[in-house]
Amino acid sequence: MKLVQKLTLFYLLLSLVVLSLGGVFYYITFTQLIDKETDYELNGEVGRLSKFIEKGIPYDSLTDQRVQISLIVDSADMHHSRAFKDTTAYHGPSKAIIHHRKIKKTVQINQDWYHFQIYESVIEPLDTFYGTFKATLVVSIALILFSLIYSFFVSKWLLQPFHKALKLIQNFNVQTSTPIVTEPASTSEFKKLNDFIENMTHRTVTDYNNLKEFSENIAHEIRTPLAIASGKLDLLMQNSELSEQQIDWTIQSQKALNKVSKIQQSLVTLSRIENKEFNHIADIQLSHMIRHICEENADIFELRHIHIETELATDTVIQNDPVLIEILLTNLLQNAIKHNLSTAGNITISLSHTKLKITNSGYDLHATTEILMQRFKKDSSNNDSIGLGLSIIKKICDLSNYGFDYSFDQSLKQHEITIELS
Amino acid sequence: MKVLLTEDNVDLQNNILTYLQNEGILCECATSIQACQDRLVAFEYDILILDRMLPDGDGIEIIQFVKSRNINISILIASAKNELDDKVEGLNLGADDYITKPYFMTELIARLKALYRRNTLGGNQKLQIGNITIDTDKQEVCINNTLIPLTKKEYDLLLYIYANKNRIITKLAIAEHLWGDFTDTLGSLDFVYQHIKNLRKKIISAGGNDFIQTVYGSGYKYAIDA
Repeated sequence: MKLVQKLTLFYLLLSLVVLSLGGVFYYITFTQLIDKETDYELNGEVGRLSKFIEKGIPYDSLTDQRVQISLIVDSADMHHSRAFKDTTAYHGPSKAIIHHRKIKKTVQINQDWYHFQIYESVIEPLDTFYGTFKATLVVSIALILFSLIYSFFVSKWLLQPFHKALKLIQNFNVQTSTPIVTEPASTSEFKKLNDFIENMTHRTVTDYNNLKEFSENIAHEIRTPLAIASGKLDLLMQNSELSEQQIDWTIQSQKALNKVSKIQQSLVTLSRIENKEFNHIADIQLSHMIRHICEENADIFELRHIHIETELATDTVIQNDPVLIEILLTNLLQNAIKHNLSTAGNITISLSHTKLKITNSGYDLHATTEILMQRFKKDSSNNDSIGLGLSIIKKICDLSNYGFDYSFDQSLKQHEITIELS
Repeated sequence: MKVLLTEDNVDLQNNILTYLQNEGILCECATSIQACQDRLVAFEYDILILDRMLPDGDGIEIIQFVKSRNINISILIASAKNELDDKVEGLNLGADDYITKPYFMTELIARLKALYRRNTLGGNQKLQIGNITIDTDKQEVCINNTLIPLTKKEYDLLLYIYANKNRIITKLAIAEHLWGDFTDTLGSLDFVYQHIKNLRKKIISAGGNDFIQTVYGSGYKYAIDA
């Protein structure tokens, strides 16, 4: 729901509550006002009639349908009294029993005590209710209509800078290296927002470029000292005076350097994938590529006692960068070999038009598949792995819009990676 | 063999220079594209070892320079960039081979010798280790004129050891040479030992010299003793 819609809705809900309360208040005020006026009139009439009686006009000649006057014979302990009451009585003109206001008053005129009872028809409470209800309803409807028009204009005009900024953020791509430039706004909050967006994207772009430059440079910066160290170790090893122990240390150092170099290489590959540097799109015959990689490494399957089975749809063609796909397939296969059993392992590769599935036997997992997909996360039982293969695979799938799923069947002890190609 | 090394890092230059000199290979150095081009024009070399990132530009420029002037030299790119597409680019431009820093010196020697054999000596070289003959053209190995059936990997292994005659070669260097990026998948370097064992078995049973020597009982290095 849009912000304006929400604001309008809350405003309308509040207005309806207030208007309903207002309606009740109007009703009460109206009825009280009517009663007060009627009572005043009734009291005035008693006064006028009393004047007539005082002038000697017989009180019974003044009586009619709505005026009853009686002389109180027993007037001991009598005092002035006045009371108003709501009641119903027959109303001549409308020929119906309707709501009336009644005054009961006892007054002393020329030493005689008289008791007055006068009826006055008033507006039916239901009519008053309908009246106030109708008025409130009209006001409510007008309010809703104006609110909608108002919200439309607020959204169109007042929130326009906000919508524009939102659109700019949505379209922002750090890789294009252009910070967002916003249109000037007159609202101070939007001015602040625009300033923030401009500053933030400017910094993001700068940081991103620095990071990109750094990871590009690091290949050279790290590899050169690595090469120097490795070369010195090579020279050292050719020294015939070294003891077996010293040679062993040298070899261990070389192994460690080799590992650093592999980690660095994988990280550079990851950042290159992230930077979308692999963008030479071509038609790729997946089955050819898979078969080629399998054939090249046939001796490894033999050495590791892994039985490999392939079910490849030969006419599966995808559009992507061949280097990227080779990195993907190589990493998939390397993972399947690395995390396999030491004897009698198996790998199954099946390729359909829309799906590539690689299944391999393996040992029990100590970590969840979600954790293993993170960088440098690996199952503790495997020390040789640097833990970046799965990250690379996932990154390639993400950027190529391929579905990726990794699961481990606890009962069959089978790892399964599924890639949805469409 | 005369090699021109283009490398701007003095330490790395010294490493390679020392190793190649120990190997009896004549090596001269250039630290920039300009210096390299000057030397290429003035002197003759068999092989150019080329770094891509040089202080005055991309080493690729030198390949174009070599091609435009028809200088007869084999080019081995030794770059810190280890990406498939960089390799493909370098080779497409006319380089003969590509090696990634850091590399094992034994690997560099093997590559240099292979290039020298193929490009300078014309490829029809028969290598001799005692009574073992390696025909690098047909990729065949004979002992006393009897063909020894070797797998591709065993053949590569034999050539690698031959190229690094009398040098200690580590199991890791052999594994990287034979399996490259897939070395990690082996899980253990004992597979190198297995390959060496199979190769020796085939050679010995055909009556060849047992030239592969296990240096120290640990089995971490191998050397030629012939």
